[in-house]
Amino acid sequence: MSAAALAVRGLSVAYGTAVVVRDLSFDLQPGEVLALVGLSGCGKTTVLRALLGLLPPSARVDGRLRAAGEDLAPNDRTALRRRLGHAIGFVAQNPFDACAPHRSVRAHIEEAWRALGHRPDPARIAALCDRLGLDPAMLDRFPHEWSGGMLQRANIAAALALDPPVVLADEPTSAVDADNAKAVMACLRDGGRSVLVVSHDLDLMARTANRILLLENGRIAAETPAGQAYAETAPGPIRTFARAAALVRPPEPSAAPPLLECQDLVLVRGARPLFPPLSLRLRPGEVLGVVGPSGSGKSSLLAALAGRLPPAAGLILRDGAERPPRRGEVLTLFQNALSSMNPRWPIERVVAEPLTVGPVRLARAARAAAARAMLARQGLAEVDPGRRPWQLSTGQTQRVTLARAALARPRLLLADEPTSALDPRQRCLAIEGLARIAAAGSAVVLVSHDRGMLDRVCHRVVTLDPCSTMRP
Amino acid sequence: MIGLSRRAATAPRPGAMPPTDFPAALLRHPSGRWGLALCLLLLGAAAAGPWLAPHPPNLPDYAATLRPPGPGHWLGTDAMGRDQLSRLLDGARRSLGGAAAVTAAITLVGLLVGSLAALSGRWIDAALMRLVDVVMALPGLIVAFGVLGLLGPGYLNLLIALAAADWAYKARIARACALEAVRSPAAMVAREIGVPEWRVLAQHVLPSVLWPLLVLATLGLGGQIAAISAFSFLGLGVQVPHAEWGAMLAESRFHFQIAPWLLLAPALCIFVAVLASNLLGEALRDIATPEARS
Repeated sequence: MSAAALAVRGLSVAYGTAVVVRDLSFDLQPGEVLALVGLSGCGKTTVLRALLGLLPPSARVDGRLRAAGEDLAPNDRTALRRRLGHAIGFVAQNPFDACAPHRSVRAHIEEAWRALGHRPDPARIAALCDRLGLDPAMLDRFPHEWSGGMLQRANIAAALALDPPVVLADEPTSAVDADNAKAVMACLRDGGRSVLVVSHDLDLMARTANRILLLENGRIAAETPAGQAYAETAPGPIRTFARAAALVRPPEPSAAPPLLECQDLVLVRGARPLFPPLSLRLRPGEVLGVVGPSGSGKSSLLAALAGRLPPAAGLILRDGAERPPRRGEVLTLFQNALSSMNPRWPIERVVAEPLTVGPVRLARAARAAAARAMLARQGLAEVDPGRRPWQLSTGQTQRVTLARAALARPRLLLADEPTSALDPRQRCLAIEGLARIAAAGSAVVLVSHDRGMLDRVCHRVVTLDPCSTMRP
Repeated sequence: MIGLSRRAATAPRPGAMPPTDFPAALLRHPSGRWGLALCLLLLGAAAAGPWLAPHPPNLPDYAATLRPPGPGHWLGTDAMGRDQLSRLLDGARRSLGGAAAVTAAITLVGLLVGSLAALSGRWIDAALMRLVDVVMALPGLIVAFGVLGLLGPGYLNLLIALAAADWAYKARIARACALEAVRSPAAMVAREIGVPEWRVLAQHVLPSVLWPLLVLATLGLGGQIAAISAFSFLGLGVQVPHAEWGAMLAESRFHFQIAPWLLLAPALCIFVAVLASNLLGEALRDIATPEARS
């Protein structure tokens, strides 16, 4: 165990009587990329935070740690935190939470040196920027001026600033697209570094890690060399996990005339065009993916297609004519599903809202029954339909809005990052719901930063910002 | 009492919601249980006052002045021989009813002004909000004194003055809540589905404005009771011979050394009333924002 860069024996974390992580043991070998994968709430992030001494005092941590030939007490949080930066690097999941909003990103990176009383090294910062494809001129701007994916890379630069031999990364690729994700992973392991990475993206881990540990309910359920994660010989739990994350593609659209057509569409923010003139056509039943970095105008495009934002130039034709959308023709699925529901209404009433309009008046009981049937089709049969939206999990709220969309039967469904907060199993269910709506004849525009998912789910994918600044 | 209290700073966030079982949740909440019980007790006493009162509240009896509590006069008599219990019950209607009227008025005015500003936008919004700025820039006490100076002392004038001093804050909250609710994804989805605009306003916007205002109203009720009492104590509110808790306090202070019960009873009533409304308001706030409770 002395050879390992980080050795963990019998790690347990409990909050009161609730045990979150149970008796976890693993070695992180020098130069190895070890992936911890699992569904939301399986304890992945808790393991990382325990190893870094970043858990709140209410958490009880037990077990033994050994790093670089030195024994560490897992509940001596001060000693663990003293290792941050020079002995162990940490990349937090949400880059915006990790940066102080009132300080420039350069100050955030320089903090790595200043925390230890050293002088920042401009040459090292420049080298890291170059390696990670960051524009050095951007460094003096504030975090809110950065896109999520770029800021995530700046965060990685901060974690690698002092060149620690071990890096712990929590979903470091959640905000970047598939090509950049591989580059980020390569950068993390630069120079034979040991990397422990937490992710729910089994696909990416199978391609970029050496070894994969599957976590279930705070225990290691299975272990496999990364190359064999999708092999027939992979352990049962890993095969189940991979199957649950498999995405379905809706059937090919009909040859009906397009219901929506954009010709040289230009949208502006201030005076600056958001993307080059865009032309596209959508047929009933077609699923169109829109991918692009944050700030490239994905949400603005959806607002324009919904008729909320007038285009600066170009045409949006509906059924071949330039007209505003009719009531009930377009429906938006918001990224934050919870905010798109009336918090005072039971989910049954939320789902039934589309039935309160239109020529046919349904009795309240009939509406409720239809809503319940639709909730059941979205896999929410076991959830009490009298619950309020805020009493549900994120994945469940997303599926409630899908049930509502299925009852609304819009001709055009605009989905804004509907899966970004979901784990693979929930994401798979949400995509299934979208595919069902498309199969019923609605055209779907699906916006996401997850290129890999779009490639598997959509009939066509439009990239809003084709130029990538990331180097391989 | 007038203006921003510490508690008002932690006003419920817009879009606050009552849960499924609102009455049950109120009874489960310790503050809610006690606040409700005390409120019902006080309101019951005020409503049944004329039947409960053993004597006419304003009838002097110069043969029985400054009697200590005892049979016949359970809470004693004042300097003119009027029955203290009867006057407390009679005064409850003015203290509590006045506070309720002022609170209802400022909530309604705040709701109307705030919603109008948020929904009409442009120059109506700008004009209304600058007016609100002016009123909020003046301390509430000064506004109330100013209005009373214009209208002259009196119970009804006092209620008008208190309402004039406090509506602006509610209008601001209402505007913020309405703005957020009108642009919320929930309202946008309803419009896309084809729900008519009046129903979007009634079902998605109005509750998001009304509910936070109701919580604020209960929290402010105690302050209004104290304000009415304070102005009556200064002689600017309820006029002789009518009873009101603050006015009774004012009259009793001349005889405090020989008849302390005259001071204690109305003071205790004011205290209990303020406590009850604060407990109730706190419970409502917790129920409205369950995730904010610590």
